[in-house]
Amino acid sequence: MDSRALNTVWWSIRSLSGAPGDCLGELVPQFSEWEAQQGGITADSAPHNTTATSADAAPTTHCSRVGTAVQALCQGPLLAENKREASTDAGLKRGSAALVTKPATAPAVALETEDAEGVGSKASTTLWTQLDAIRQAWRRGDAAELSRISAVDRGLLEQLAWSGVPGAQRALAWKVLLDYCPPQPSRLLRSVSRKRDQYWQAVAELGLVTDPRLGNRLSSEDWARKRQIDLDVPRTAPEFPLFHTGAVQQAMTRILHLWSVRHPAAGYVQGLNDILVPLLYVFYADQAPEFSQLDRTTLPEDAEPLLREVEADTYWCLSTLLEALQDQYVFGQPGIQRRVALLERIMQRIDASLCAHLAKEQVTFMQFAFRWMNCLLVREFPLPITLRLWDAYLSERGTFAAFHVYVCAALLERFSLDLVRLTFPDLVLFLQNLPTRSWTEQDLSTLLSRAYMFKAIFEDARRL
Amino acid sequence: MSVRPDDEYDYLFKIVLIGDSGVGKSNLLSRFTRNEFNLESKSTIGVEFATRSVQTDGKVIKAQIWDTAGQERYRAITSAYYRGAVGALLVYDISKRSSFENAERWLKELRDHADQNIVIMLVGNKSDLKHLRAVTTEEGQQYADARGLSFIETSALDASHVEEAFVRILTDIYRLVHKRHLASGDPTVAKSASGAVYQAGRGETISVGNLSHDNRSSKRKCCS
Repeated sequence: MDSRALNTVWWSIRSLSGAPGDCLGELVPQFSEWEAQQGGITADSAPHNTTATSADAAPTTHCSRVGTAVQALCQGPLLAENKREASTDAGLKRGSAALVTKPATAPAVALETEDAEGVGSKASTTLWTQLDAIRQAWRRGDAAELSRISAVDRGLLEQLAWSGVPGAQRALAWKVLLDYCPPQPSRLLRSVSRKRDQYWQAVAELGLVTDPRLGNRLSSEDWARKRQIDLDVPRTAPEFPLFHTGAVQQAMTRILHLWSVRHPAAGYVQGLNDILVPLLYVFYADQAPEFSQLDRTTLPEDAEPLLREVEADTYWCLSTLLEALQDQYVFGQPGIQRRVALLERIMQRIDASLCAHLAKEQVTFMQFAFRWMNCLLVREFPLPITLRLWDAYLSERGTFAAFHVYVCAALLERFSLDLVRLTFPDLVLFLQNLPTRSWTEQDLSTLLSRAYMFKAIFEDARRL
Repeated sequence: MSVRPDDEYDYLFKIVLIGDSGVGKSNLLSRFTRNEFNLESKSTIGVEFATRSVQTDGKVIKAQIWDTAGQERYRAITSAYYRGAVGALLVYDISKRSSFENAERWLKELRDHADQNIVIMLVGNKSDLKHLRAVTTEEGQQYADARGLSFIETSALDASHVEEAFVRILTDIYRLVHKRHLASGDPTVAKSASGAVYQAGRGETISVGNLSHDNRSSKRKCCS
């Protein structure tokens, strides 16, 4: 690899990492050593023809490229020089944030010859315009117009969503990403209408559980579920009066009931109500702007038909989202146990000194990471930040549960300097109440880039 | 590593809060540790933690309190926190009969997972809901007497008897420890106890059988 190519690799990884070069510099040898221990290939046998001008690569390809690039860097003679250069770059943080979008905004092969940012933004403008057109036509019920609009490029949507979906397009984008809305607008009306009917039919059949007059016919299991849902729905998102209007509470109750009845191995588990909040909010706000005012305490009288539609949409999207997470909610919660263990293993590689400190203070990962897994970090961030986080999650399709663990790792690493200064019990208290209330999208973008890089490196190492 | 003055304590006891979902465990904890009550608090996921020191019998006792989620599904996770606990507040809601009837199940949980000498206090919470009362004070008292538990009714909302509940269980534990310590007259108990303190201060297993928590030696141990 010539020095120019290696330089490019370094800059690309740095832009992905969103962190000062020195941090990455510390990380790289650790991974290198670890991979050697795992019997992975050494840099001598690693392909050295990698370049990181690879915005043409799909995200998965990009992962492997970053991994290889890091490997190359471990051995690269220019590492020290590049590190010096990196650490003196005052504008690094700002620059990296802009570049975070780069790996994902890969519209086509054309990137080799065109300016990457230019094509990326052109592609994104086109896609968001297209989604907006679909949204408008859908709202009007204009089948003719919908049949004229071309199919949404799902792959492109995934790539762009990783960097954040504009608020106005978020609901439709999420519905496409969660396979609720077909990418072909011509099929949209029929498909969604069928799904909504199915939902309301199922809810009607569920009358047994929701109608208290039939209570004596409920099994003890039904009763326990009903009691828990009835207890938790009023305690959901207490900071937002909108979620405490009767209509929204009933909608949440029905959705949670139906999901738990249809997934008997999991049933209803506390925290599922938290996971419902981002979906409900995004879909409500899309249907009627007044829903986006979370401090509203009443809803317009004519809102009911809209609410019914949103409720059905939310149910189906929640079902798809939870498919990858069911093992978190079944007896013994093995999915959570496994992911917390994985988080610990990752952290051992990323930040061994933090792990040593936690161990010394006898703080276990389960003590703080259980909720992170169980509620997908919904409780750890303000709602707008959660929405941005979920843009990225949904763009990861079925693998987001794994990506989530890397996000948790990045989050822990983000507060490492605070944590190593604290001792028990302040350490646990800090971890239970992370100072994320004032976080901006910029903070989250940086976090996501770190998580993306960790995932790339680890999953590459595992493959080797 | 400097030890702050408010970290000075003579004894450190690990306490768990258990009981059905929605009986007010988290609010009892926040009332005791921060003097806060939140009518719209979220459900507890897994476990949450808080701490506070109190003075009793001339000793400073630091309570390390683990608040557990009430839902059955979390039992596998939460029962791990019973280990090493020297006290448990078994909370029910005086306006929800089922939460009182489930006390037996919670006692079984403790029998299965906690140390057999754990000090248990039965707590009838939400005593402010007089008009909705579904369990009388006498019933609560009788049940507690029959099982050798101490008993109190509290209201996290109006703060009545919350302080008393925690101070009482901590004092009971302290006296038990003190008695055993004197009775044993064995220096090895003190030694093992100091090890236990060190561990208890970090949320690890200790034996209630060696319930002696002289913190001074442990401080030297953990900070030297």
